Amino acid sequence: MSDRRRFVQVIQENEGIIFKVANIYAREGEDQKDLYQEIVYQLWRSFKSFQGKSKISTWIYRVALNTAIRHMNQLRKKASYVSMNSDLMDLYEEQDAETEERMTMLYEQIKQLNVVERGIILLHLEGKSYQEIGSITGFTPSNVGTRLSRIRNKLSAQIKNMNHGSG
Amino acid sequence: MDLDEMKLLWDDLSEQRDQQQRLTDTMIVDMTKRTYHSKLRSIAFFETIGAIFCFGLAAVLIWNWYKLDTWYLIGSGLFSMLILTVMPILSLNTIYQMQGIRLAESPFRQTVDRYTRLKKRFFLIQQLMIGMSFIFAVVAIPLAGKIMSGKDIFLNHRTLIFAFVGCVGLFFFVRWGYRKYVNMADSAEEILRELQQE
Repeated sequence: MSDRRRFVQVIQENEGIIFKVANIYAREGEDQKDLYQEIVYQLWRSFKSFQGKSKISTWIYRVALNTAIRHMNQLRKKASYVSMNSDLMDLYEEQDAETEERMTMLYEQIKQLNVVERGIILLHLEGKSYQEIGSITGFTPSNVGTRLSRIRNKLSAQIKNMNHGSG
Repeated sequence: MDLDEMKLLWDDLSEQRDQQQRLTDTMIVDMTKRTYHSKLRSIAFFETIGAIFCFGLAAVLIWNWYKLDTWYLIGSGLFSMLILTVMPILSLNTIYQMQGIRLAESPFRQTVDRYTRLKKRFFLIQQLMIGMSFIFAVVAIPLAGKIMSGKDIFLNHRTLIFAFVGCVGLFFFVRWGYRKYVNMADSAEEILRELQQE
């Protein structure tokens, strides 16, 4: 099987990861689609050098999160942008209203966290162990635990504020 | 909704999403080709063009250095050389360092740390460059006058008016730029502090 064929298969099996990272780190709309494409492109660039030393999902999370950080730190927004293939525009537009609402609420909470916390909470929600989160992020497993407990408190406070605001 | 409820919702949404595979082979292959330009790459391109232009001007200045025969023209020449050579190098260096980060190998923590530091540095350099270019705009006129026509117009009435207007502009710009930089630097520091927390 050619590299490109294998790559396509890997992306299809893991497209949910890319979708979630783009949702968490980019603003809605064009920015998310731009990040989505950039992640796929960066994955392709490093695909040949991926030697299977780690799990494929670990590699995807690492590249996706790092690309998201780079995307967020772009120096001037809208410096150059060529619109994407029109088929890709549909990637984000086919949700039913209820799913859309639940998803928006969830992502809104996560997006209030800082860049580091967003990465950790994503990996935690994806069911990764402290050890795995540590190997992707570079924090020690015990530090991951401490950070998650801080995130838990922060989220509680956020939700409390939200309830006060709406009540 | 606490973290555990969030996790349940996340699992549910992930399951729904996994059932709808959306990317076709063609879409993925299209994305592996550079069908659009990365923002960083285009910034590097424009900064490189700008740097080449600056170096060209610096070369013209060096070539005509013997024409600068007063202390203020020599001072203006030295200041212009500094802007035309050092600043573009610093700016390009930061951009290339940003491009050089290996996204597949760096742990997330390291990537956040490096990008935050580099962005902060780039922002500072940009602010300095724009600020200095106001002064450059003032000193470039007498320099150009001397080099191109041999006339010393440094203390000319019109040059002084231009210098005054430039200084007023510089004052407002520096005030605005400094506030912007402080905000940006504060948020960068917060991220760096967060990374150090145990």
